[in-house]
Amino acid sequence: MLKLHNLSKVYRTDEVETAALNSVNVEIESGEFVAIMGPSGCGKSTLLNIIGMLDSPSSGDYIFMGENVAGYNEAKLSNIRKQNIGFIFQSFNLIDELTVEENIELALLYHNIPASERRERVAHVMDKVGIAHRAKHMPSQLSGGQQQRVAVARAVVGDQAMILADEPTGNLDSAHGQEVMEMLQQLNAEGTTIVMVTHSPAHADYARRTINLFDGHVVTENLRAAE
Amino acid sequence: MFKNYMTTAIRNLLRHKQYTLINIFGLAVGLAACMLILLYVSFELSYDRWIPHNDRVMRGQVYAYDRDGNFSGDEESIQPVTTPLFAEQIDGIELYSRLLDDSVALAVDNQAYEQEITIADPDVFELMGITLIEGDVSTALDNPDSIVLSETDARRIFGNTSPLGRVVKINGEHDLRVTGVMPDWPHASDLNVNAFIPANTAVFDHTPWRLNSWGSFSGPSYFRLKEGVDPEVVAKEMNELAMRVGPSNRYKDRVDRGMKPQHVFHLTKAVDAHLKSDASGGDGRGSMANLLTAGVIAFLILAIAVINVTNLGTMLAMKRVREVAIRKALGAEGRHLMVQVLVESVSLTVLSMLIGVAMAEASLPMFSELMNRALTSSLIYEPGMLLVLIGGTLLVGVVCGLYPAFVAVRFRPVDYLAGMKPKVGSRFRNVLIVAQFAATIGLLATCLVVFMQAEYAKTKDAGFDSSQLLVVSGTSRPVVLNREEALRDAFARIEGVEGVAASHDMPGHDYNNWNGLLLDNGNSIDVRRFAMSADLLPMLGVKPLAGRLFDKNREADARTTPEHGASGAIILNDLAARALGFATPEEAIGQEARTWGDFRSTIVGVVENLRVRSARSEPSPTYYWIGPHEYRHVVLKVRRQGMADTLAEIDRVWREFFPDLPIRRQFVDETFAEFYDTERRQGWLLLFSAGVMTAIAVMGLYGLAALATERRSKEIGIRKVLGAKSRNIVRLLVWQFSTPVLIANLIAWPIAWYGLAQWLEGFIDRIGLTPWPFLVAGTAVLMVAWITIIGHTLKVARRSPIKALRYE
Ligand SMILES: Nc1ncnc2c1ncn2[C@@H]1O[C@H](COP(=O)(O)OP(=O)(O)O)[C@@H](O)[C@H]1O
Ligand SMILES: [Mg+2]
Repeated sequence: MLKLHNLSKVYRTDEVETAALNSVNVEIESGEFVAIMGPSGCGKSTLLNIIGMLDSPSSGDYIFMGENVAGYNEAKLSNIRKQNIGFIFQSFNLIDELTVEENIELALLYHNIPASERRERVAHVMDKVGIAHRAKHMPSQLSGGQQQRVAVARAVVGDQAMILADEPTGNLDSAHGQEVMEMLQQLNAEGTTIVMVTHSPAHADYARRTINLFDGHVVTENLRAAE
Repeated sequence: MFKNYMTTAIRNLLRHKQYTLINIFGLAVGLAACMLILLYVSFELSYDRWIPHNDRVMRGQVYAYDRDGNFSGDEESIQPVTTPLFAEQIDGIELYSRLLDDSVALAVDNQAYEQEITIADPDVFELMGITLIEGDVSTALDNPDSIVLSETDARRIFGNTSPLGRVVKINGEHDLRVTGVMPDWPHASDLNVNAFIPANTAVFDHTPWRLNSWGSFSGPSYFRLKEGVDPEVVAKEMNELAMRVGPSNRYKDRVDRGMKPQHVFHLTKAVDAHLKSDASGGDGRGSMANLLTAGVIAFLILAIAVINVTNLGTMLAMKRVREVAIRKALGAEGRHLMVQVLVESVSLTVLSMLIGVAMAEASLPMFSELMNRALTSSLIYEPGMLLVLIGGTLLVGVVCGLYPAFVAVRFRPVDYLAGMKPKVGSRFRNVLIVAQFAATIGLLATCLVVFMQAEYAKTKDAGFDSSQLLVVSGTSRPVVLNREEALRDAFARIEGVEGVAASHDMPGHDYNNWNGLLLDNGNSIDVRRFAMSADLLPMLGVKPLAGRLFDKNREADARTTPEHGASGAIILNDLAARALGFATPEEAIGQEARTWGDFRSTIVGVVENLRVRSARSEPSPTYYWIGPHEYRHVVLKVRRQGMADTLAEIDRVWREFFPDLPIRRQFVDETFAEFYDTERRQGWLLLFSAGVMTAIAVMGLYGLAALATERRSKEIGIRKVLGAKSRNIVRLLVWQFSTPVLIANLIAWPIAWYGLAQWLEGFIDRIGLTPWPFLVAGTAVLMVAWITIIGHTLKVARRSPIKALRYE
């Protein structure tokens, strides 16, 4: 599905240069479930943002579905991103002024999909993540677990081939975390590629493969033995 | 998609209620101010447009040249005596009418009324496109003793009964028959007509020169030219005609001597009279400069409101980085966000416009009063204007949203995810705040100076003591003038009247008589003549600079005849003495001077220049003489104590003398105050605008300060935990927001100073510019800004730090 080759990312602020990623080589197959682990500040989020085309690498190649997108501009990236990639964030990132329904619909809004079809698809995913009874509620009226379910629904409503999740369980208690992980597993079983950053070894166990980062380098990649 | 924009827009506006209110209120006030001023401007531009065929309706004017052939002014009328002559001889003239105003006493059924009349020629109805409510247009002014009344005056005098055919007595001696009733004269006119009397009336017999002198310019003449006729050609024919039939000493002789004739005739469009004439010509006159000022102020008010919306919009966009980031991560592109922000600002503006229309409606009566204009709001709802308003609203909405939209588009979602707070736009925002406050301070300083000038001009030394002076006018009417001396005697006997005198001119009655004054050494000047009784100057408290005042006991002083314009003794004002070439006032004393008919007078005294006009006009060289047949006013000095009784007694004496004439009296100090009415109105308008601007700008500053403290609440919390006191924190914030206001002063002062220096040039007597009004304006605005910011930040700073830290 995607391949990173010698990819580096350097942040330049006024005085300091931070090398967040250093010659990273990673390959992810279509349909894989990959976990990224590592200590705080080692570059996990940076890697995920680059994979998600929210950010561009400083050097190296990023081949996404056969296309080298490393030098693409914002508009082109945005186009590829919205067709293929869904996001789940640690802090849910729902829009406070919109209802659950509208928040999920947002992911279809920029795709030129007719309103009737949008409604259908939103209803379908709400059912799937079990949040349909809360359709008209505002995010602030939901528990964290429920909010993250809305975020998952939003990430998949556009039939994205890949979901990127940055510490999706970081703000949840273990029961709710478990729930979200099961949802992701279910999606993966249905064919969605999933790349997830996590601190929890238990949650990393849901993935088929774990990439360990340290200080911007890939240190190890463990393949989980087939059950 | 659009529905989603609208819902987010509405919910966003509701969520940030405080800022939404500031924005809507500011914009509504700005738009209302713009609407009012737009109404005013379009009213001013509509003057006399209602006259049919106004593209070829002209007003006759002359360029005047003095006895040395120097240009001395552009008169706004031609001599009424020339008007019928021109109309008869010049083929290009289709219709004409003179319009000479006067005020008369009108009596019917033993009831006396003051009535404004206008002498006109029979064509006047067709020329002005006037139809009569009652009576026959084609014959209404045929008879010399006819009068056509306006609807309002007809009702005032005759109530609901038909006035047609009724007889009224004018000035106690002329019987006129009402031959018509016409609709009230349009407000949007340079002319103001309340009643028409034909030009061959006997009512003007006591002032025959108004209609038959080549030296009298007592009212305008209007012409309608035939289609396709060039006004310049008509003017040329007028000048040729004047050369042939006019008095040769005014025209032909001068030209033969190689000089300019005394008058060069030219035509201007009737529709230009209101805005393009000399603004001092009448209190109701407008000017292009005034319109421009009004327009600039409206624009400034709106600009300040727009700046608020823009500034708060960018700040709110900062608050909404999360939303923008999420939308972008989900595939929103620049244009989507652009549209979203614009939809928000346009809906805000539309809402403001609706409120603005209501505000404009509500304040229109007050505004009309302030501007001295009969404005109506119906114009707002005309299709053309509605289109302008809707277009304007959309434009304002887009302008307001443009920068916030730009900020939103530039923002990258990773930055938010990485926890960065964007700093975009803070420089731009500061520039806008500076501009806002510069405009506010500039306007405030301006209105202070305008008030100071009006106050100064009002209290400016008139050269005489104007307190307690009461002027009774209208004594030049023959019935009054015949018994004028007896009237003065009767007034003098009233308890509480300290002095009585007669005078040709008093403040507020622009009446000019000019003639030549010749010395034996050959020096001569054009000079104003000013008739007065011997007791006037002492009563005004005037002291001679040299020589003496008139002496009642010297009969030679008062020697004159009705054919002449001087008396045995004359007194010069300082200007006249200088113009005649006297190096000192003393030199003039005892010299002889001649006026027309070779009348010889002795100069017995020289006095200060008495000021009877507004400070905008220069005093003229004048000689004072004792001339009973030119008295127009009785001037009384009344005691302060028991004023009401004295006034009642004066009224009673007048009624006893002239039961058919209402008394017209006014205190001189009131008249002086009226001179500066225009300045006062301007001052109030400026003050009102400056107040509105300050309010809007400070509200914007408040909004920004509130948002800034909110953004910095974590910082404030940490500082407090580390031991900072409320005071330190307030100081921090106050300083941050004072800097733009201080810089605004530096920009506003020189610009306002320059503009005001130009404006003051228009006054002969003017105040000098000092830094005071500028300092006061700057300090006042800074104070208001401080109070606002301190009030808010103190509240925030006192809050327990835990709250801020928890919510972050
Ligand atoms: N926008 C940025 N500007 C500068 N430095 C950044 C930025 N984002 C991340 N970094 C730095 O890059 C490094 C990696 O950050 P990140 O990818 O967020 O780590 P992780 O998610 O593994 O905790 C850190 O040292 C961080 O300080
Ligand atoms: Mg991270």
